[in-house]
Amino acid sequence: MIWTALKRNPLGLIGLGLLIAMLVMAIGANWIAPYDPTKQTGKPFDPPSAAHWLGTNDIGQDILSELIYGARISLLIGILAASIALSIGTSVGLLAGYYRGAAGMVLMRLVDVVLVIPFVPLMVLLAAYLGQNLWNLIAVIGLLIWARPARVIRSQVLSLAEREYVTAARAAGARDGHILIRHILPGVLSLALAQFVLATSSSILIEASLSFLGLGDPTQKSWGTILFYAQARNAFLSGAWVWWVIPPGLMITASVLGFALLGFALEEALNPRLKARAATTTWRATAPKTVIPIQPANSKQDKDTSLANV
Amino acid sequence: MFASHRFIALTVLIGLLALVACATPTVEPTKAPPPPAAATSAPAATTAPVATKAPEPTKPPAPTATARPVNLRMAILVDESTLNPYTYVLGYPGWNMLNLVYDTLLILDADSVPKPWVAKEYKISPDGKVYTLTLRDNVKWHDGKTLTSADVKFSFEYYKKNARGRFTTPVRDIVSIDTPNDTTVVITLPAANPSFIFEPLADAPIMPKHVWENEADPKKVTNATGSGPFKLTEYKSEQFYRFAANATYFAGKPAVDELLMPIIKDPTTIFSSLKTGEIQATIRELSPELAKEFSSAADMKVQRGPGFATTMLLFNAGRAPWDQKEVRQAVGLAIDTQKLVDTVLLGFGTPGNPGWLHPQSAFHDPAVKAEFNIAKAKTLLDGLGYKDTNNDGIREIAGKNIEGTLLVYSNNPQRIRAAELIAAAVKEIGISFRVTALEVNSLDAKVWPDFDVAKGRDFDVSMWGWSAPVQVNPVRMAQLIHSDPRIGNSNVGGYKNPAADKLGDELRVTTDPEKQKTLVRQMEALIAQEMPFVLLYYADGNYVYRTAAYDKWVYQKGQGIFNKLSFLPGVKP
Repeated sequence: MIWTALKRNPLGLIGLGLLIAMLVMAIGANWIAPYDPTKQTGKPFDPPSAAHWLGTNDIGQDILSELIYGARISLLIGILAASIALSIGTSVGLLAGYYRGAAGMVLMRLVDVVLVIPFVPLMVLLAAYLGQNLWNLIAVIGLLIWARPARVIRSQVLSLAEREYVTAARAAGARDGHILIRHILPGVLSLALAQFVLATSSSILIEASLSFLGLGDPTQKSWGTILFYAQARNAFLSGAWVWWVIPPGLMITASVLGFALLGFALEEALNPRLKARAATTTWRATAPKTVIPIQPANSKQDKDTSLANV
Repeated sequence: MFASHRFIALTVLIGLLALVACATPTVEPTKAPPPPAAATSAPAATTAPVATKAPEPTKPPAPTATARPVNLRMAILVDESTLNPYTYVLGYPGWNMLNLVYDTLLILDADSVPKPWVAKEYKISPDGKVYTLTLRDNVKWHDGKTLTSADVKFSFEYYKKNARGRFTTPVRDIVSIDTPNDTTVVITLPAANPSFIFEPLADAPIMPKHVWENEADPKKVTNATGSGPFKLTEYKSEQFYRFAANATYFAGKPAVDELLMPIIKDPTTIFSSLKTGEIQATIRELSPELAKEFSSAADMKVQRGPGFATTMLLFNAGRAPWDQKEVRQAVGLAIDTQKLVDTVLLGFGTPGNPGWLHPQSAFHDPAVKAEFNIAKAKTLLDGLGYKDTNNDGIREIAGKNIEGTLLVYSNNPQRIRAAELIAAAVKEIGISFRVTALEVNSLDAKVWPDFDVAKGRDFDVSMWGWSAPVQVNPVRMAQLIHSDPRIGNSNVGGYKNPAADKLGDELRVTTDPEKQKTLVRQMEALIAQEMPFVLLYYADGNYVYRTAAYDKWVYQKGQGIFNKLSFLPGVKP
């Protein structure tokens, strides 16, 4: 179903293509990279040559190899931070959407607070208290970007919770936990997937920004860290930026773009609200059953309306 | 998508800022200064039969009628507030800027040795307690009044009364200041103090009594009347300082007629403005890669000098296995310091002397040399019983690896790189260092909590460094390794050794120069042998300027080119 939706979205396909390229690079870094990026394989500050296509960095390590290995760190951070964000975001979204009373209020105000937290000052603080390492960076990014998915998921839960099958389940005596997990969660999973992809994109960009500012882990070879050293060692003044700044910049752009395009495509295909807009054109033709635009798209939920498994 | 759009916007913004950084800094064109005044005669220092007297400053070349006024723009990075002894912000360059406007009794010459200046001679009593200084009689304040002994007495007493750490601490113990006449100052100290000629005599500016005597709050004083070679003519907060040459300066009119110091906060902008010629000099030191880059520019010159600031690998000598001398020695033997200098500093530095002192120090014993010998390092570890039995590349004893966390400041890319190279080097001999970058305060809290070595320490190995002054005075070696925290107040690694303590105790009370030299050499040999730290390198100081604008800069050892003497060519204190 996701694939069918994607196939009709060329931008989504481009995004997917970019991501596959990144994944191949990350997984196959050992075979693709010409050198071990942690070893000194040339003179410091060498311009591009046949031996080092993108030159060497400030201590004579191969920049091309750094870039290729950098895909690992950047994707790792992106995916792990997004996982944290989505775990929290989905839980909060479910609870806040289902319990609309005081509990929901408190949760949503918490979401508002997290949404307006300024990243950089907080990172400076956390770097001081927790130490600058990869895992702290992942945790912090994850803890800071869960609010948006939480809001999106909550709004979907709000509508799901009013459906007949949910009311029926409740009338039949199902406990809240059961309703949330068996009836509502499946309805937001596809939405969560789109949010996950978008959160990954944000995480990669945040990591790059923080590392560039020197707030990341300077001993890890992420793309942001490459930029940090390029800036710290004056690549902008010496002309080295052509091979030291632009390539990691392009890599960051490509991966963020890849995740973002895929995320938007998935969101459009899976978010019932966005779909409603699309429904007037192509979607109705392929799914004539959808009369009320906000009806859940996931067929699993339709099965659940039978109450058979309550 | 809200979040991602915001960050895309942020990235674009950063990009734009980088572009703007390459654009023009906003410095308005300077007005032409008044034509140079008639040649001023250099003061004739009266000769007196005493040991320390001022040599006669040579006459500055008389400006000819056709000489073009020399206007110079030298960039600084932060605002130094109104330039008075209580408001300037940074020790460098704030204090140096202050010294363009004010004078000190003595001055540090190009070798950073105190020499007579406003005081044309000084005598120290045999017990080291009484300083008698004779002032020049031709030193004028910018408003035309004469600088007298009353101003000196007033200034030191003012510093004593109104706290400003740098100037107050050195004058706090003064017992009395007498002024038998206008040009004589007699200062009495409670005890001999060999540092007194450095601070306050060559450090604390003399303030005009007639301006300051009614000022209760020194921070509010905006009147920058001094006696120095330049007058502060204009100051625009966060924008620039404008100085005009003091045509009647006692040591001769400075060779620069107008000095404009724009505040440019971003170093990248400073150096690109220097490339385009919008500024002609800067107080900012060049990093090695830029020194290399600028050295090849035809219209610029990179002035290079030895730096006494140290970079070292510090062991926690109280924690296993670093408490074993042989382990520390093995680490030292595994590090190729020449390679570190070539890689991290691109050759702009001197490899570390394991005995602490810079090889250019007068006290250094050339027999003490660094050794790079992997085989010997391995033999040492073998001898201790450290063997790699589980083939993971790391030696262990009774299942315990030789490993540790190597701490490094996260804001110092050069040191992080050095740490990475060191970790790779010690891996060769089967020792594992895990490089961990920490924010400055977090690292200090682990290595030097509250900057008090008595409070203990919590680290394995750390990248560390001391500033140049610790290196200049060899007596301070005792502070580095003495186990009593009151004496060894810089013994951050907690090194303990009765032999070192004994040597340190002796060094601290020795005034005889020859005996001092012998003790320092013994100390150097001991440090090189015991390796409480591995001295990695001393980075050079590099400064760049455009030669067409002005090229008479004087490199002051350990202090760089921004000093009073740079503007007074030919004057040798």
